[in-house]
Amino acid sequence: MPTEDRQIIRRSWRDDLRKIFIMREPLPGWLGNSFFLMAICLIVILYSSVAYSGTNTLIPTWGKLATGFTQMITDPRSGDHMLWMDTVASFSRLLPALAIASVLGIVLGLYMGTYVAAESMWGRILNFEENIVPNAAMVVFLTLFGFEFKMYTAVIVFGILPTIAGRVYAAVREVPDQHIFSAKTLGASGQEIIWTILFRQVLPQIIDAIRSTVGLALILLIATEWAAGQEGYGYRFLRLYRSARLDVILPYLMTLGFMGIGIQLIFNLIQRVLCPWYVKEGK
Amino acid sequence: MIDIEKTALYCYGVNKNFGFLPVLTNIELRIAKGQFVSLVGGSGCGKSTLLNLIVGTHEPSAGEVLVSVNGGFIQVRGHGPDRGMVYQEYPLFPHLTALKNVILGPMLRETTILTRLYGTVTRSWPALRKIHIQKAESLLARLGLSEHSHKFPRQLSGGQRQRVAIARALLMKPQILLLDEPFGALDEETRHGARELMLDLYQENMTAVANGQSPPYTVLMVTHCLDEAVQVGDRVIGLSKHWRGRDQAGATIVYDKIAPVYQPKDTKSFGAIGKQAAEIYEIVLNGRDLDPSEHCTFWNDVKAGKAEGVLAPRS
Repeated sequence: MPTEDRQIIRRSWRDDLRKIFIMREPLPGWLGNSFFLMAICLIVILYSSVAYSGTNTLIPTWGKLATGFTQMITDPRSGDHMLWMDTVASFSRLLPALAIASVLGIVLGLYMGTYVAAESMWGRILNFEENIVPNAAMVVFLTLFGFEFKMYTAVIVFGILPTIAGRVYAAVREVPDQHIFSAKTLGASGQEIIWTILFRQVLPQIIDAIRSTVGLALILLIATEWAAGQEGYGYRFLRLYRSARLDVILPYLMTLGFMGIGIQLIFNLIQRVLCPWYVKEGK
Repeated sequence: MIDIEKTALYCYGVNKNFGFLPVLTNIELRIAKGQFVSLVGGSGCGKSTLLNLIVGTHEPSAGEVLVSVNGGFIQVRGHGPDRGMVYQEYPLFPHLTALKNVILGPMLRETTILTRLYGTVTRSWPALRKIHIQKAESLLARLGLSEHSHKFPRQLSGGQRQRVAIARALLMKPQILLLDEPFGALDEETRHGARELMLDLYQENMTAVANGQSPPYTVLMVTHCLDEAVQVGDRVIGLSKHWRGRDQAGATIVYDKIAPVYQPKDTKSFGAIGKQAAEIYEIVLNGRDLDPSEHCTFWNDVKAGKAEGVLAPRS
């Protein structure tokens, strides 16, 4: 053959398929996505086989799920906007609590990471507090704050503050001493080092820390509302649970899952806008 | 010796122990304004400790580190803007662009958080910031970094990062600039450029002295490359733990001599550089017990008129 020494290597889909079995080999998009679709199909088939088998009548069929979904958006009988009302109620508890815990956690973490005195003062206490489940201690919060807005805030703050403070502290400790010394030779005061240099430098990790606690905060909130609420997600799930309304619960959970992904995307966007210099490790 | 006005730094009987471990013993060091001093020594002999004593990270166990300010000596207490420092690792703040790293100095020195907040309301802070940016941009341009001024440190090469860090330190106009193996991690080509930069700065010192002004830059540079020490510095100091009469003591200065001064574009006489480097190796790094004063002839040589550079402007 005349062109043997400069053969054009044409990659076929068969070559791509072989990559499936190679460890850590990047796959082309269509192939990766088809695996994702495969998993979705698997879940749908498994669910359908349970729902249509007739052995358990409580598992709703796809048609019932669809009516459940519309009922969740607008209840045809009462005209309530179930999802919207619960979201407003729960987020008006969640967001202030997140804000309070973030501010406290950032301040504590920054000072603990720079001054040993602050670390000696709060480090072990926060470490201990992290191990206490706030919902198990709910009687304390109820005694202190009653069935009020303050109580939910307290439960969530109590639960997520140690995590945020701990992660901010760890991020500040990662900042090399040289940065602090350089800042001092440039004439920075202690507060300037903490707020204009360290805070800005660990801001990406702070955003990560807050993002990772949103899930925990939701768990705490739903559990508290389940036990003591008059409205909100937890209270709704309790009522739906009592009437065994899986046709509403399942669409509800799906919607919450997608909302969670949306929140993560918002945090990613904030991080990218505020910290354009930051590149995640491993990317 | 020289008088206080011409001195930049004076270490007087400095000792440093870490617990019971003596690291530095009886360091006597007087650096004149405008000098570029190279500090060499074996690993673990306390070069960085001496630098940290001067910059203020550590305090001496005995003796005093004095910096001359306005014709008098001030004892070093902690970090201060009169002593600049460029570290080998993490020289820049990763969250700021090169330009913002450089203007951080004047911003932190001239303003506080409160004056910046108040100045934002009265519009005086943005105006001051504009002046800072102009100063920083002209300095970066002089160091050949104009096109990189809006890049973040991770987008810069190692050599560029070191040069930005040097620019940031120089903008503070410190009494003495301390460099801790600044070019240690660079490849040979970048190193060459960085050395040329140091020689350029030294040339500015020479011009200032020739015009009867005070030379603007004084540098104390730790390096493990002996050729670089001889080539960049106008004086080489060697620290060693091995010296005669030492009894449970730390390192001290065993070598202190004049080094040749080169113009940036000069052809360096590598024979002479290599010869002195070999001499330094024999004395400082070979681990023989020597009389510490035997090779510390710098000030006598200056008196004898052997000096070049800022201490002998006419030659």
